[in-house]
Amino acid sequence: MVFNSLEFVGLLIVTILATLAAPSSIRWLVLSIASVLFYAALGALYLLAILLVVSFLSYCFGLIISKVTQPRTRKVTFWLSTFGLIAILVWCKYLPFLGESINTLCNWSGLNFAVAVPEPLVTIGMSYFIFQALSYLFDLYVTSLSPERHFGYLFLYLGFFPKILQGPIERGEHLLPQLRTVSVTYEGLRAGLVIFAWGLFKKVVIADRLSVFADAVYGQPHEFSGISLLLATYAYAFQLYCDFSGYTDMAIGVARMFGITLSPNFNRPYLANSVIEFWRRWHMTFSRWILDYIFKPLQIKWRHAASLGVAGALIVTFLVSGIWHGAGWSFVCWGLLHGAYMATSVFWQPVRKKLLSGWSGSRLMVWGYGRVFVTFNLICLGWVLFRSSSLSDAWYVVTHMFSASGWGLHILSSKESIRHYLLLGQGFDDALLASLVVCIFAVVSWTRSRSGFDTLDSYLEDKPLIIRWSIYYAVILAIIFIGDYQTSEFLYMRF
Amino acid sequence: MLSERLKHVILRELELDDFTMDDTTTANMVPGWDSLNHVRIIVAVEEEFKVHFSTLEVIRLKSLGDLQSLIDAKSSA
Repeated sequence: MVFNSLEFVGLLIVTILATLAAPSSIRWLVLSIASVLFYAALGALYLLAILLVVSFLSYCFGLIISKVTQPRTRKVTFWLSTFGLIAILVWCKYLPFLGESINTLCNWSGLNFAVAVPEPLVTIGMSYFIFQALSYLFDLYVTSLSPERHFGYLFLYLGFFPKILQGPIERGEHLLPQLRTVSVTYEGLRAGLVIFAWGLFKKVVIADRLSVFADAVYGQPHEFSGISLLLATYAYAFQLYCDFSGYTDMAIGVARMFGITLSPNFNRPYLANSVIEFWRRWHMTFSRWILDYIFKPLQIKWRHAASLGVAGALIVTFLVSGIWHGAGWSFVCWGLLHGAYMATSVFWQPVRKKLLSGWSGSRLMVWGYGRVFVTFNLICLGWVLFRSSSLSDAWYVVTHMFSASGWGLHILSSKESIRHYLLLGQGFDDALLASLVVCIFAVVSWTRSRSGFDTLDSYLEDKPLIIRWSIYYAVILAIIFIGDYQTSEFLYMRF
Repeated sequence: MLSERLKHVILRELELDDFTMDDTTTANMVPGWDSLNHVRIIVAVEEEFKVHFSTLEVIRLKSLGDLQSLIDAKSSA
């Protein structure tokens, strides 16, 4: 079941009505039942079983970690529970990849040895709720977070249906208290619907439209070269952003309808002026997770190696990030690429500071815009790995993106040539519509950012009635009449 | 109460002439105290006070007051 489906709308309405009717003490049960039904609708009931097992383990280990005072026992319990949860994730998600990699390695080295490779399982949502469980246990072990003594609330914390499939990855101290004050109000419903609609607009009007262009090229990259590869990569960059941030908005909107505020996940990431800044703006709950639970401990452990220690910690952190995103060598390479970017910045930052020490005014402004442009393209280089079907396809895209045959005035020599190189084989009307919606989105985002508002709802809150309702109608009409409904999958559900 | 010695170490590592700090000051309140400088400051504090912090002890630090308490505990041990 996905957000942009009639089944989900039906479940949502029933859940809202049931929450209104239920006394506050059992609203957690209403939401838990809704979450079970939502997750079960994926058709892989073992996922529900794994969610229950992870919830139970987190609940039990959480209580033990908090109760035990002897430091060594606490430490052993913490590490046991952490390895247990990671083992579940590795077993379900990474075993086929590990098996294939071992067999490939044996083949290359001439060893007459092969392991049985299990069939890949559907693991939608698992990476998210297991990482959330890990953060809960870590916070119990390290900070003064109190354990959740009610199993139902802990289950709901991990399995809450708006966020189970693609996050945000919520911290215990932020979400657990809110689950005890679930309420349905007019204001919550109104705000939630506005945020949800904007998310749906980003998904069906922008992301799914752009996917046609990206898929046309990345589906058969060897048919294209030069500017086509660049345009397809840019299209994918915005498709991925609108798809994922659209989902997050929809998740935040649905949660708001129950009086729950989920954490924001995006803050205009393509306006970042460095890769470090990008990771403060992209998938923020995940980047905070890897920063707090992997990077910081490693950085502190390796502190006596100074900058090398920091660089090493960054590479390991982003390697884990790559592996989390997918069981494949493209994702491992993508993670290592970002690790390399971040590690390089450790040594580049002091140099840049010296370089710019005498700069001011327009020179600094041009440098600033240049940094945003360069950062965006560095990120797009990573997206090539992310989107390509294989490492060899990614290599082809990167090595042919600036080949002479794909640039130059010959591109404009005929209608067919323009259609192939610039429109990526699609129609002029489709390209015009896609460009228009991206421009509208860019203007809305820029206007919101200048006003300092996090969500469309908060931006419109004090606007005159006619402005608010004009925008509401515009968004709804756009969703109905120019939404693309051929694709319903959310990209980040694969991770 | 933050010791002048600790304040001096922090100001030196961050190349600040002066900054008002007290027990409740957190890292994000001090100019230039980012994740890169964080470990430099921790290493500098360990060298200055001849103490060693475990990884867990450093992760648990929330404020300069916590850091001062940790230094005092390690120094008297």
